[in-house]
Amino acid sequence: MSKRVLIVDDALFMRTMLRDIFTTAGWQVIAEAETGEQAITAYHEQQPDLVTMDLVMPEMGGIEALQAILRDAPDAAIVVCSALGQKSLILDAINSGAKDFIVKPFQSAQVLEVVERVISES
Amino acid sequence: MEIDKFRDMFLAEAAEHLESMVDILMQLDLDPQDQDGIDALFREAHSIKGMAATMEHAETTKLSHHLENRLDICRKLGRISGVEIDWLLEATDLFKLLLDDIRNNHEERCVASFIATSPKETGTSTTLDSPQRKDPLSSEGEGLLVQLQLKATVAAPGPRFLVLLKTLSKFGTIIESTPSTDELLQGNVPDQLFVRLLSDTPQEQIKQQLLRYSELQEITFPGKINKPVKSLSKSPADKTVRISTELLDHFINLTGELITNRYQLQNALKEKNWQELDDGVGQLKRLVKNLHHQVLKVRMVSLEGLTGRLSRTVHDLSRSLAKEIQLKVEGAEIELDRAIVEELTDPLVHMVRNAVDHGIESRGTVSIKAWRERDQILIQVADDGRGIDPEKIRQKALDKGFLNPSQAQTIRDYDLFQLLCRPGFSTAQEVSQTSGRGVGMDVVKTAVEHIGGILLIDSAPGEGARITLKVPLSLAIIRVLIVECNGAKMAMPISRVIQTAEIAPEEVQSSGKQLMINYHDERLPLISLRKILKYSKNVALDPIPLVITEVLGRKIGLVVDQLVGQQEVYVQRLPAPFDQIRGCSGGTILGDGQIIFLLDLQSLFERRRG
Amino acid sequence: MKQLLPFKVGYETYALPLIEVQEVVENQIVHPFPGAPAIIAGAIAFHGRIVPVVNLSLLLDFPVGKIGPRLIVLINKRGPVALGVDQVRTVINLEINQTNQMQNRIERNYIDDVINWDGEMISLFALDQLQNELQSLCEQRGN
Repeated sequence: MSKRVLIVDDALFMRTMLRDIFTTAGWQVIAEAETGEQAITAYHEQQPDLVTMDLVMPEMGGIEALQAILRDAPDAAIVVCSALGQKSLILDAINSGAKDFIVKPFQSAQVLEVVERVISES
Repeated sequence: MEIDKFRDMFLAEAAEHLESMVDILMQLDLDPQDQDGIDALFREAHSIKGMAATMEHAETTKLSHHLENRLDICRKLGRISGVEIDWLLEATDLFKLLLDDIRNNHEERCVASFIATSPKETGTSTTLDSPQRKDPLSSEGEGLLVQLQLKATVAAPGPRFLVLLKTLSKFGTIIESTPSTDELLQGNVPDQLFVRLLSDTPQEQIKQQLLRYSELQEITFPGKINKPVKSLSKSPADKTVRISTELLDHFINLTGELITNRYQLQNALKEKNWQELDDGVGQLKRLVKNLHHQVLKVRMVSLEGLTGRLSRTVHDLSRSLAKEIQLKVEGAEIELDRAIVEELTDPLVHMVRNAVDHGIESRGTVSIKAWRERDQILIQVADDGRGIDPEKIRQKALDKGFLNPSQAQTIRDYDLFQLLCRPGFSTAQEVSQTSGRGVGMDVVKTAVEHIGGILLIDSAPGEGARITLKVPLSLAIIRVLIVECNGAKMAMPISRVIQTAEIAPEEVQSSGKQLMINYHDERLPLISLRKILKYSKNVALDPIPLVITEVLGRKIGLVVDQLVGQQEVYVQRLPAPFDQIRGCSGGTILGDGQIIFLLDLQSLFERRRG
Repeated sequence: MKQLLPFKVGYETYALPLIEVQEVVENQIVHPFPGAPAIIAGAIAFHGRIVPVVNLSLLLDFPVGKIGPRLIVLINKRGPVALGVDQVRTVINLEINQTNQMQNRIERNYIDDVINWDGEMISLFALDQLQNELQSLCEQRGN
C-alpha cells in the first residue's frame, strides 16, 4: 500500500512541487493544508503516515502546528521544510519533535531520501 | 531563589558523585589495577571540580582539583595503592563536610592542611598547577564512541547533526557528545560530531542506520568497544529522580490511551449514549489506577545506593579494629520506596557496625540479604560471629530489673532478644563484654517501626546473629487495617499487625491493675485504644475486638471498638506543622471522602510513657 | 485599597486579608484527628488534600459550640489550614487611610490591628501568631 502524506505549505508552488515529487515516487498525497490550523484538522481526520510542514506560514507557524499535532499524536512523523536562512527555526523544530528536515530549494532525491528514512524508522 | 535552586542542585549532584567515589574506591580496594575504575574515579573528581568552580566554592574546588591531579598520576601508573585509597576515602569525608558548610551557608573550611597529609608514595607532583584538559571523549571509558563527519556540501550542518544525535539516541543512552545538544541548539556548527553511546545494539547495525544519511562523509568508531558497564553512579539524589525509559514508555502509552478515552467520553456525551459513557468512565478508572501505580514506581529505588556506604563502614571499621571482615551483599537490586531507603540507611549502618564491632571477633563475614515477600521487604544483617547467649541477657535483664524472677524463667528467646532493643538495656561497654550486641538497638528498632516495619533478632551462642527488618514496600501505598474507635475510623499498617482476634469477656484476666489475656500460650497485656487516645470509656463489648501487635518490643492486645477491615490506601503526609504530631503518621482520603488517619502506635506509647 | 474577609467568632468580628484566603467551604464533614491538640477540631478533605481545621472559638477563649458550617481555608507557604468560624461575611474594600487607627497594639491575643468600619470595630486577625501557636503546639505533641 502506498504511503499517505499530508503536505503543509502556504505557497501553492511549493505544494505543487512536493505533490509532484511524492506522486512520482508512488506516494499518495491525501491532503494539502495552507495553514497550521488546517494542518491540525487534516492530521486528525486523515491520520497520514507522514507530514511535510512548512515552518514559516502566516498566522499559526509550522512549529506551533507541529507541537499541537505531537501533543495528541506523539509518534507523528513530521518532516519540516524551511529555507536555508532559517537554521534556528529548524533547530527549534527538531527539538520540538520533528523527525527530520528538508532545506529549500528541494531536490527530488533529497526529499525522498529523508522521507523514506523517516518512514522506515517510525 | 535562583541561586538557592542551583545550590540545591549542586549539593545533590555533588553528593551523588561522592557516593560514586566511595563505591568505586571500595571496588578498587579489591582490584587496585582496575583501569576503568581509576578512570571513573578521575571523572568523578573532575565533575565535582567543574561544578564547584562554577558555583565559586573555592575550597571544594581546590580539594577536587588536588584529587584530580593525584588520580591522573594513578591513571598513568595504572594502579592505586591502599594508602591512597584510604586517603581518598578521608577526602570524601572532607568533601561531605565542605558540602555541609555550603548547605548551612557557612564559610567553607580550609582544605590546605588536609592536602598536606596526602601520601607521598603515589607520586611527587602535588602542586596545584592546572592539569592538561582531558579530551572529554578519549577512546577509553564505557560505551561506544561514534565519530561522524558531514560532507562539505551539506546545507545545514547544525540541524543535521541534531537529527543524527537524535537518531543515535534511539539506540540507547548518549553518555556525552561533543558538541552537546544544547551547544547545537545554540547554533554551534562543528565539523565533526563525537558521541559516546551506551547501547545494546551491535555496532554494525548502528552503522547501517547511519549509512542511510547521504549527507555523511565518514562514519568511524574509534577506540575499543567496551561492554556496556552498569552505571557507577546509582545512588539516589536528593531531588532528582532517574526514570527508566521503559517506565517512560508506559507513561506515554497510558497517555495515548487516556486521549482515546477522552474522545470516547466526548462522543458518548455528544450522542447521549449512557452505556458508552458508563463504559468510558470504567475505562478511565482503570487507566487512572494504572497511571497511579506506574507513577509510584518512580519513587522506587534499589538498595544498591546503600551498599557503597555499608562496604565503606565494614572497610573502615575492620581496618581500625584490625579484624579481617568480608561483606557479602545479596539482593541489592530489590527496590523500595525512596523514603524507606532513606530511613533505613542509618539503622543498617548501625547494624553492620554492631556486627563488625561486637559480633565478629577477629575474622568473619557480615552478610546483608534483601528479599521480597508479597508486599513486604525483608532485609537481614547476619554475621558468623560468636552469637548472643540468651542466658547472659536473661541474667542481665534480672539484674537490671527488666524482668522479675518468674518472668525470667518463662520468657521465650524471641522476647528475650527483643529486650536488647529496650532503651537503657545495654551500653556499648557492657555489651562488648557480655552479650556481644545491643549498641543503639533501641534507636534502630524505633527507626524501623516509624516506617511501619518490625525488627526480629535471632541468634544462638556460636552461631552468629541475624537481625531481620520487615518493612513495607512503599510508604505511599500501603495495606492497612481499619478499626473504629470512639466513632471514628482509623488505620494501622498491616505490617504492624500480628493478628486480629475477637475474644469473649470471660477470657480476660486481671493481674493487679493490668488486664491480660492468654494468646497462644502467652500472656499479653490488654490496652485500650480509647485510653491511649484519651477518649471516654466504651460500653462493655462482647466479643472484644483485638489487634495483636507489638509496641516497644512487647506484644500487646490492643482493644478497639470494632474491626472494620483491610484496605490498600494511598497515604498522604500531613501538612506542616501537623506532621510533627506524634501518634499520627499520615492520613488517607477514602473514595467516599472520608479521612482516615494512620495511627503510629509506637509514638503514641512513647508519648504516654513520657 | 485592601480587600478583607470579615468573619465572626463568638461576639467578636475579625477579618483576614482576602489574599490569604484560598476558599470558603461549607458543610464539610470534619473528621476527628487522633492525637492532635484540642484546638484542632479535625480535618477536612479539600481537593484531595487533608487539611486540618482549627477551632477558633476554642483558641480565642470564646464559649465553644459546634464549629460553624463555614470554614475558611488558608493556603500559605507553611501549609494549608482551615479556620472554623461562626459566620463569614461579605468581603469589604478598605481604603488605606481607614487602617492603622490604633496607635498602640492591643494586648489581646491574635489581633494585629483594629479597624473602624462604619462604626463597627473589626479586628484584623493575626495570622502569624496563629501559625506560631500551631507550630509550637504541634512541636509539643512531637518530641
